Amino acid sequence: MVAVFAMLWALAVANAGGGYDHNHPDVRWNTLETAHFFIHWPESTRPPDDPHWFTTEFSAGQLARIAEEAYPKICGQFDYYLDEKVHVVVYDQDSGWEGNGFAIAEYDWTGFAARWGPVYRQRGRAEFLEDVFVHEFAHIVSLKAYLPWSEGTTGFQVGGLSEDEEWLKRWGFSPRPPLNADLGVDLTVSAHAPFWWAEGGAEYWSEQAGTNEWGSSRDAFLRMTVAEGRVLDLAEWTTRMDKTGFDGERGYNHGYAFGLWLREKLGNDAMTAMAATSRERWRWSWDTIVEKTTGRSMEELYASWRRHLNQHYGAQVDAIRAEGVVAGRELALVEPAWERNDDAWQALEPKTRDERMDGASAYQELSRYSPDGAYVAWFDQGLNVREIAPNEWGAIGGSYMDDDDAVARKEWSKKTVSEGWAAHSRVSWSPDSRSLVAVGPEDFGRSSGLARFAMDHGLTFNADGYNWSQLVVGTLDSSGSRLTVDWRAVPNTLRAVEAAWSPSGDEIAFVRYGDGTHNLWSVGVDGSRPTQLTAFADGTQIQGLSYVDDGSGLLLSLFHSHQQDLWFFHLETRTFHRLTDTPHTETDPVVGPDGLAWFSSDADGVYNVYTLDPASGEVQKKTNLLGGSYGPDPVVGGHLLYTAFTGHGFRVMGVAADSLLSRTVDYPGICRVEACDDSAAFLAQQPEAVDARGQSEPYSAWRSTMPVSGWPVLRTTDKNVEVGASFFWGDYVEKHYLEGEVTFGKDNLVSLTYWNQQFWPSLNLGYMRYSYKGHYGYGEDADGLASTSEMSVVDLKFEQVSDDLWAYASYVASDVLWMGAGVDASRYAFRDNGDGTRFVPFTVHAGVGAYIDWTPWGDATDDQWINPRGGRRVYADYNRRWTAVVDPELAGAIYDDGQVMDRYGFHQITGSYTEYLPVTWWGLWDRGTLQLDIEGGWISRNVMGWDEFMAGGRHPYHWGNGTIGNNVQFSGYEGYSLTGETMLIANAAYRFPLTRNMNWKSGPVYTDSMYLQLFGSVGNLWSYRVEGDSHIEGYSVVPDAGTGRVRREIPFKDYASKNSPVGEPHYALSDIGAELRVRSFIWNDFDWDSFLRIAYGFQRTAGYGDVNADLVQSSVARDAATELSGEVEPATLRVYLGIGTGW
Amino acid sequence: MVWRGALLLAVAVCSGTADAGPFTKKSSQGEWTRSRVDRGWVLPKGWLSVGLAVEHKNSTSYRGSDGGLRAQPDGMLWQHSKLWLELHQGFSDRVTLYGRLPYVRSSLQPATGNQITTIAVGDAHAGIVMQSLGGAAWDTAVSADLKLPSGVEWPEGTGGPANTSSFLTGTGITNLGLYVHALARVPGVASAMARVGYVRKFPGVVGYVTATDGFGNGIINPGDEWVADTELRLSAASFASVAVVGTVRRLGTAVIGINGDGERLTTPVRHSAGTWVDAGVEVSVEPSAHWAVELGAAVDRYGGDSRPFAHLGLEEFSPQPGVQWSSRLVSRW
Repeated sequence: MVAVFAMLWALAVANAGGGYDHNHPDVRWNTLETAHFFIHWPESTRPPDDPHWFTTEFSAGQLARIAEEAYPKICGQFDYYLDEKVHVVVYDQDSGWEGNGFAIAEYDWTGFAARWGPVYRQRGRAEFLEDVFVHEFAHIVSLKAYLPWSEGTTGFQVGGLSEDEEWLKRWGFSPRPPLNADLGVDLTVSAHAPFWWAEGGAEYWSEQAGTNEWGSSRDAFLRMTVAEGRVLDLAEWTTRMDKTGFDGERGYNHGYAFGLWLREKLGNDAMTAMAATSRERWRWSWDTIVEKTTGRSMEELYASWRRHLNQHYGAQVDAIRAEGVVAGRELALVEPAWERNDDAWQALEPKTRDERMDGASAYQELSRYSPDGAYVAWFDQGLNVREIAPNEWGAIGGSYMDDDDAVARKEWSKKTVSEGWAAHSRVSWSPDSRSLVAVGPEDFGRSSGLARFAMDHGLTFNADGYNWSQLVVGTLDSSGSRLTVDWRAVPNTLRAVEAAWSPSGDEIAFVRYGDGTHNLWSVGVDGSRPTQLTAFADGTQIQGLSYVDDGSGLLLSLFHSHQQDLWFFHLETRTFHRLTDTPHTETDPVVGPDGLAWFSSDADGVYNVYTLDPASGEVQKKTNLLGGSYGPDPVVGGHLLYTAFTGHGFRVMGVAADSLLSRTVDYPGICRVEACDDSAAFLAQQPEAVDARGQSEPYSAWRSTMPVSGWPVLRTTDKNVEVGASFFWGDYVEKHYLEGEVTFGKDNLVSLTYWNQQFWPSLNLGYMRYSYKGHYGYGEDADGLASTSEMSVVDLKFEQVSDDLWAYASYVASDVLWMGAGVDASRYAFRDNGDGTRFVPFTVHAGVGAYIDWTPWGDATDDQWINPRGGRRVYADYNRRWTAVVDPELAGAIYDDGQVMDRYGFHQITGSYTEYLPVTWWGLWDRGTLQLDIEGGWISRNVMGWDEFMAGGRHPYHWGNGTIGNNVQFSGYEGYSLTGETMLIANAAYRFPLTRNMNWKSGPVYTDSMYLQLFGSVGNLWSYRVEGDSHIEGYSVVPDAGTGRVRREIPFKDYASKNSPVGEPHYALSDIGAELRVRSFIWNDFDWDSFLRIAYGFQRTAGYGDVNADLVQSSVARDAATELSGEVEPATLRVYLGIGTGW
Repeated sequence: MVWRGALLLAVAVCSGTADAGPFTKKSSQGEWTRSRVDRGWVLPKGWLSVGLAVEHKNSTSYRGSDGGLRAQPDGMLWQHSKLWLELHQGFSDRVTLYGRLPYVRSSLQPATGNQITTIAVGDAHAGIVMQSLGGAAWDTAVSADLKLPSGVEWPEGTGGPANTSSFLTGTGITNLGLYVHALARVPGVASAMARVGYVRKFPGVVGYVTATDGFGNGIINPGDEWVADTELRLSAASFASVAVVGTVRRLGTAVIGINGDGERLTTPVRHSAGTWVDAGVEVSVEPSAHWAVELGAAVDRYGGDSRPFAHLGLEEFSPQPGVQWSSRLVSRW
């Protein structure tokens, strides 16, 4: 699957230089310039005999040719020829990009790996470089040609936040009981195009360019989608954001099909013409563009297209049924309800049925039974190995396990091993059926329980940035009560793709990837004797590898010179012998127990399973499927497993021997029957290419900088407005990039962050200057009693500025473990009456620290964003910090909690642990999650208030410093109102869906789901207090020498004196609340999540300054023993509403 | 910010309008109109313009309550300069976004005593211009301009009229101006432009209004403003043009006040209302689509009392009489 991320501003690939999580300073980038493109390609600087040496020279040379050939074909369709050159980046240093690409039109930037991933079946083409490049280039051109706005600013952002009750009072509302409301909105307005047009269009335009085709795989995909009633509706196909399973590919597939149908129906290229219509001016809805372009409404066209689909694919299905369907049933222990198709199943809601059929993965595929028929391995959320005879499967034997048979389920569980690390490449069994070889990661640890735990939970340290694939051998042990598999990596097999175990048992043949090309290798089972058998350097792809019975050679499928056929490779002579020469695609061959070559082919337009007798050349058709097949797996006893195209995913199917078709067919191009062209000459054909090495120059980040782009920003805070822009500027390999934001208004912000990714860790240097003009009322209380309401208020205006500098190095140790260390410094200053342009410095701070963050997720369901579930997050940091009070008006010192603060250093440790427990209470709510958090912090000494921990509810649109990361902890209290040097907070929340898969589109907003969360927190922040005799110095209370002291409060043993009003000691604070979360997207591709949170803190609180947040600071102290304010914040209902702000 | 802008401009200068990186020419960019008189108010789509503009005024006189010009004492010189960093971006075919940030230098050489000088960031402007209807011979547009209180609003010391030791570079309040534009042209020969606008000035607590005997600040409501501009531009060559310009501003009465025990106490500032009329000339030379140089001069021909906010240096409220020279260097791509 080519997952294309177009029109995304903030790229996930920006984690590190060169597109991967890790930087690769041992990689040299080269640039090949052509008439219309720059192709940036990596090559290792290691010695060529180093295991991690690699090059992409061939791929770059191919791309140069492909790109220039595509330029007029794509640009010509839109009559839109690019003046600017497009930068193409090849991401091939590590694993993870296979089959993926992206295009960002306004950056003139596209990138992808040089190879298909193992999952390309939906499209069925092995011509990856050409396929992906032209698709992505079609994005570049179409998403430029459609833009009504400048490429430099494809959108803008408008937002605002009103906090606290003060704003209500300004509008004349004084609710009783007091209501504290924070209301925020964040609206992104962007140029936009729906999923079906952007991705389906790229498929369509690449076909118009002659490099793409609507083949058997796409037809099977859509046929089964129609057959199962899974066609995306008018709302669904506008966004990719909520798509899971096959629905993501459906957006590509449907848009492509719709484009073809439009051309046929309307007789013109309406799909392309929509770009010109869109360019005229920005429109609220894409449907208006469709209507203006075609003269027909979107609803009308869609309905007509759906009728066409039903008719077209209905006819296909009818024709197959007329021949007689020969197909398997899904490989399952319990009979799938959709196959049983009883009344209970039919009574379910369609969405519920769809979700159950989808299961947890769309990719249940590529089974391989052991030669003795005792074990089967297949992929379903990783590799599964089960001890089970073929006829124990209901699909073959006819009888299923009862769904509620817990004993049987447990027994089968004992006979099953599941491993999540395995790549979806077909496994191969040893001849004795006691071992199998799979493809796993380079960073592999299964040697002990500890190593296994570390690998499964991401507690590993990848020091060189590489995690290529390699062969892994598993040895089965079924002697005990539970099946176990002992896994070990096979040395010298890096970048292995697929393997076959020799009949002799001591050798493994495997396919190794390099530079867009596959080659055959062999290696001893222990990793000895690695031997390269072929020397392709031309984009050849090999798959479906299997030894013939006598071990003399390998049956395989070879993609070469735009053609995929069956071949035999003779090991001794190292020569290829062609078995088929057809325009069809023969794929996944395997030598069956009967010695025949079993394979899948689309010879009759549908991928069916065939056998080829290599001796006679006889071909038999074994299945007659509605959908299609790949990965045939002939099993002892004559049964067949295969992987099927269904509307709900790829599924492993089983067919009993006596149900197979076994019809001899006239199959053209069998070389045993009719002479085929000269194999040697065919294999010698080389694709035309540019001499990448000869014509490239070393990559220059300076000469390869992206266009500067920015988003205008307008924010309001109460009655104030800030205007500015955020921007991003980097080079195409992301060795360097600069991002920042500049806004002006009452508050001025300049934020610049520079990232350097040339070294093993990523370096981050930043500077931020934030000046804030504020005013508050100073309440002069004539009678000195806080309890009386009389007060004269004086407005005081001030300007505060902070300058922050930081330098951090961060490193991704594993997918879920990252860490960093660095230094930072800050300066705070003020100016007010009489200061003129001069800021009076207040404090200077510096620190050195380190952090570690471990976030292993156990569940990656479609609701993970709104409902994180099945994982945990552990975070800890340590800082050594220094503070100096430098205000000359204060003589460089202030009092805090009874102590003089001038220059001091301290240690600060914070940590948090969050567990997301999947819980479905009483069966009421599917997908319920119990979230448990604990957060703690400790500062080694008494520090001034600004250095203390702070807690309290905070709106997500609020920007500024804060120590509380979780959004539900203590939201029953005023933001930043709770302070102290010791912090302990525990929180529990239960979250469950109110409605899911809503598919509700209203204007530009597409809403997917709503969740309700009930939560409560308990804990406190403790500080230092003055005890014993004390006296006043200035505005502060300090202990008397000898009879008074300042001491640290002990959590829970002491009450927190700062937040406790007189007579109300708070040993612990607590709150409860509820939160409604709404998961939405706007303009098809932008997250636009909203929430309503209501929280109630049970305790009244005291503190410093404007405790009750009415923007008036009372002059009255709480009592004689403290300088804390006499104000009290009552227990208040707090309402937080965020429209589009996230939660 | 100014230096960063200067750096960016320097990069632009060094790179010219290069074919790579941030100055890449894009196919989506609109067509540039060569002759100044044939242009409207918006940049073509996708164009970015970075400009540095300098304004400077010397004043040796003031206007009294009757608007009449009177000489300052011998030796007294008021100088007011602004260095503007200007960004304009052609957001779409008909919309241009812009931001303008001034660095302000205000200086007073009293008749006796030492010169008083303040240099600081002033109030930034951001806005949008939307060209609506138009044709070969005419164009219309509307625009909105937001003036943001990013400048310095605290006088140094006590800051009273008799005790000035620094000047302000910002008013501390937000303005929102809405304008209607119209233009008629003889293509390639001349154009005539008119603009009429209303500027709403939002009252707020500011640092330069203080209680006489207290330590608190107060509020200012400076009064709204009407503005009308005209410009007649003649094309001297395809790369040069000359314009005569005129501006009329009508300022409302400013009101200041502080909080008290009950209602807010407010007082109008005497003679703060008035009408100002300026006239000037401008020469524009554009050697290529990517560069422009402008030189201009303007003088006030009529005005109100220039004294109410003179001690604070707030030219927006109390412009001082004198010739204002201006120049602008623009790079765009």
